[in-house]
Amino acid sequence: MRIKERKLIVALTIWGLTLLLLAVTAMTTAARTASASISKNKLQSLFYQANEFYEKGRFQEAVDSYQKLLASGYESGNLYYNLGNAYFKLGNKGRAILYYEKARRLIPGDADLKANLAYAQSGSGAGSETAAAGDAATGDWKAELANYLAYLAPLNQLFVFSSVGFFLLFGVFIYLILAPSRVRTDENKLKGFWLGVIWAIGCLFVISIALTTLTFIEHNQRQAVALEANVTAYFEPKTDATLYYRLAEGNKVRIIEEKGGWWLVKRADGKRGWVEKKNLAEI
Amino acid sequence: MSGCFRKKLLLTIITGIFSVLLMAANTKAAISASLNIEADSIQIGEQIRFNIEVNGTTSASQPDVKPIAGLNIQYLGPSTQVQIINLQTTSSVIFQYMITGAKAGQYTLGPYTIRAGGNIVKTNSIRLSVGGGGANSSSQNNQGHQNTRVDDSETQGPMGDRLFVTLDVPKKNLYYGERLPITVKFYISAGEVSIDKNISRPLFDQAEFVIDNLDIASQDDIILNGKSYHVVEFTPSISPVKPGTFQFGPAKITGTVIVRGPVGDIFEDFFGNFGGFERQPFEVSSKKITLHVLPLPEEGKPKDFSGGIGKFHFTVSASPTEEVLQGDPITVKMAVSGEGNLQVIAPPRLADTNGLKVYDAQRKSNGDQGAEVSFEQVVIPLDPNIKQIGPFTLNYFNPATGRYQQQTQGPIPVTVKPNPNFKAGAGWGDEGSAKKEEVGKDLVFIKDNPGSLEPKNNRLDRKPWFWLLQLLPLLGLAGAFQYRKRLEFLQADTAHSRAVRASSAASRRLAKIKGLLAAGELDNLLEELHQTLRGYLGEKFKLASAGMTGNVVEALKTKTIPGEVLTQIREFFDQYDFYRFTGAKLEPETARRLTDLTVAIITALDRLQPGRANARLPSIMSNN
Repeated sequence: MRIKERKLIVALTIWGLTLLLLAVTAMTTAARTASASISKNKLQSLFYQANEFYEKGRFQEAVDSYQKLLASGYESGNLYYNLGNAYFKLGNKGRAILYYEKARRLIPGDADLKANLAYAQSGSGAGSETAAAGDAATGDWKAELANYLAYLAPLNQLFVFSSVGFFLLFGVFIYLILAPSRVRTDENKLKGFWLGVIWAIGCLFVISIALTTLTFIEHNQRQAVALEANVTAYFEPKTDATLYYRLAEGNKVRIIEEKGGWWLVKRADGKRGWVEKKNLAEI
Repeated sequence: MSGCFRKKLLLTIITGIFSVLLMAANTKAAISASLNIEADSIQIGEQIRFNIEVNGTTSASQPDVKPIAGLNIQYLGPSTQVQIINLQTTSSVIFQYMITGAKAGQYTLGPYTIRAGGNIVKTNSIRLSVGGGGANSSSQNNQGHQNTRVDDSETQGPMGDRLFVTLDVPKKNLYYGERLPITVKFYISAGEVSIDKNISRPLFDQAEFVIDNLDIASQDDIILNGKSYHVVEFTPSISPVKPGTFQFGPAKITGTVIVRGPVGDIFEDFFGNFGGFERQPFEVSSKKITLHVLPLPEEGKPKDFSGGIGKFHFTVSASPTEEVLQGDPITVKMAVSGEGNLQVIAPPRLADTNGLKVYDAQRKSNGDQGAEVSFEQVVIPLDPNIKQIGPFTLNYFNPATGRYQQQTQGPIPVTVKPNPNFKAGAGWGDEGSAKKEEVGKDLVFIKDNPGSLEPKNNRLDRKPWFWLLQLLPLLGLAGAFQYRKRLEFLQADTAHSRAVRASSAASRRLAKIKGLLAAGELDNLLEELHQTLRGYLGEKFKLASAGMTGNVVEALKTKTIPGEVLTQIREFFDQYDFYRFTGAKLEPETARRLTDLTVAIITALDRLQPGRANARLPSIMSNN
């Protein structure tokens, strides 16, 4: 009976690992699978062409080429980043920040992106009270921490990490059930090694789930960027309503509600006001 | 009639007559009310008494005397009087009040309405004048006292010359940032007033000046204009924070005092007025002073102006200075003292830094308590030819002269020994003197490659297969539980588990026999069949399988096994014994028949409770 059990455990372990491998492969490849309708080579050549325009200082043409690529239904962090740069060179800091923010969701750890976003934000009226109030998480350490954690890694990557953790954790549980004699002492207590393994995998799993949840919430919140300087937020969704506050160009806000051509937005300091949609662009 | 009776009769008659007369007098008296005041003019802080007198009754309601802005009215209580003069009885109720002038002006007291004996009576009204020309202007002494005070002081408050504050500023023109000591004195008239609670420190509502050191500096008793005063002195310092002309002051002091009131009657003193003293909150202020704050002159302003405004001098020392190894630190200690804004003064500057690495001087004491502030500066000789450190210079502005001044100390002679282990330029360089590099700021250049181009919103959480995949570990866990449960079941020694084990083992053996039959290998077939059935019966019915013969049927008769099955079992063992002991060769047909017999027996026994039918057996049979 013992030999039979051992054989079964080996078979199940192999099966589990194969399944895990398959799952990871499937997730990573599926996340990268491109539609066959447009060849990637064509898209890449469009990107390189836009880069050439940029390098020659023909920023508007660069913007048009990048936008054409986006219109084909594809996106990448680098594409958004370059588009942000091109808009910045055209003096459109609001749109530059918009595309940097879009890039931030795909390549949050990119140092160049962080530098350019900070530079664009500093050049869009930072230092003024409006910008300080409008920019995310100024001075509030909890908001700053949440913002930092929410942009630690791309969402898809976090989902893969969490899923791998989930598989590993359950794999260990399955092993504990199938081979109790190997994981338990003579007093029927869990061996220290396995206790450590469960703790380690459990902690990693919890951390990855927490980060994934935080990033997921952040990415699922509707956010917008002010495209112009001094975008007015009113108490009511009409232009003759009382002015509440103004947004600096590039200020990020959360969209709370929609009514006709208006968005009810919430600034980082919690102030809610109605802003005309035409003055904002959703991230 | 006895004499005693006559005396009693006479007394009764007299008492009756007296009572009748008294009642007659009372009924005739009319009720009236009047308002009396001790004086019709007072000064601020002066107190007078006023009474509301209701005549013709001994009971009256307290008049509703409302507060008057500018006057402090305090109710002292009622008193009742009854007088009999020439058999005429008069009675009255007097409501007594104390008025203190708080603000100069003309006031009207009354008329007040009183309910007495069922009637409503009204008092007359009186005008009261409160003068604002200083405390107790009627007093010649006080006039003299006012004149003897310093020009920059003034008494403002309801306490007159019993409590007042003076403010002395030594000069009216001062420089921006200059630290100027001033004096605030709080006078308390001894014997008339005593402090009940802690007095406040001088209060200034002054945004243009920084004021510090507001603690009490000294206290003394003095005689001023023939009056005895207790004087509390404060010596704060002021420092203007911007140039311009400003009103400085007043300096306010608040607190609570015990004041001796007007002399009351013995009953008042006894029943709660505590001998004529009462508590009063107070707020006294000095007068304002106009100060002209001048900006620091730009002319002659040194580049390394220390920010010091006042008159300063400093000392400098260094350690070690003898045989200092090249690259070893020398600590320079500097102490700046004098009068002025020591708290903000910068340290003296080392003029010549060639061949030295000079660290920023660190402030070691702030000069808050004493008139000295000290600094320490670390200097490292990089050049072994250094002979001295210094000189040190301190540039400050002297408000007394209106000019910038420089003080110089040092240089301090040092001897430096060459250090063979010292590496010039290895982090020592001239960082101290080198200018901080200014780096440009602009966008980081674009990315050369597009990165991983993905369809928009290609998020894993929006793919159903991703979530279905997450079910696999759950299914695996459920399967593991199920398997574990079955394993434990099979390992148990119950009839059911034995039946399952027997059936399972028999299935495997019969599969092997099927292979032998197909291959035509009949030599071991009979033995295999025998072992299969023997093992099956032994496991299922917990019998000893070794040496099992047809007699096992006797043992099986107790197991509620149908008779035809028992017959089959006996037939099988008989056949086995025949071939085994006669040595006859097993023909294929016989082999197949015996195999079918074995399968039939096992199948029939599997169907018996608590065993279970083995689904695989019929397939084996049909294939054969």
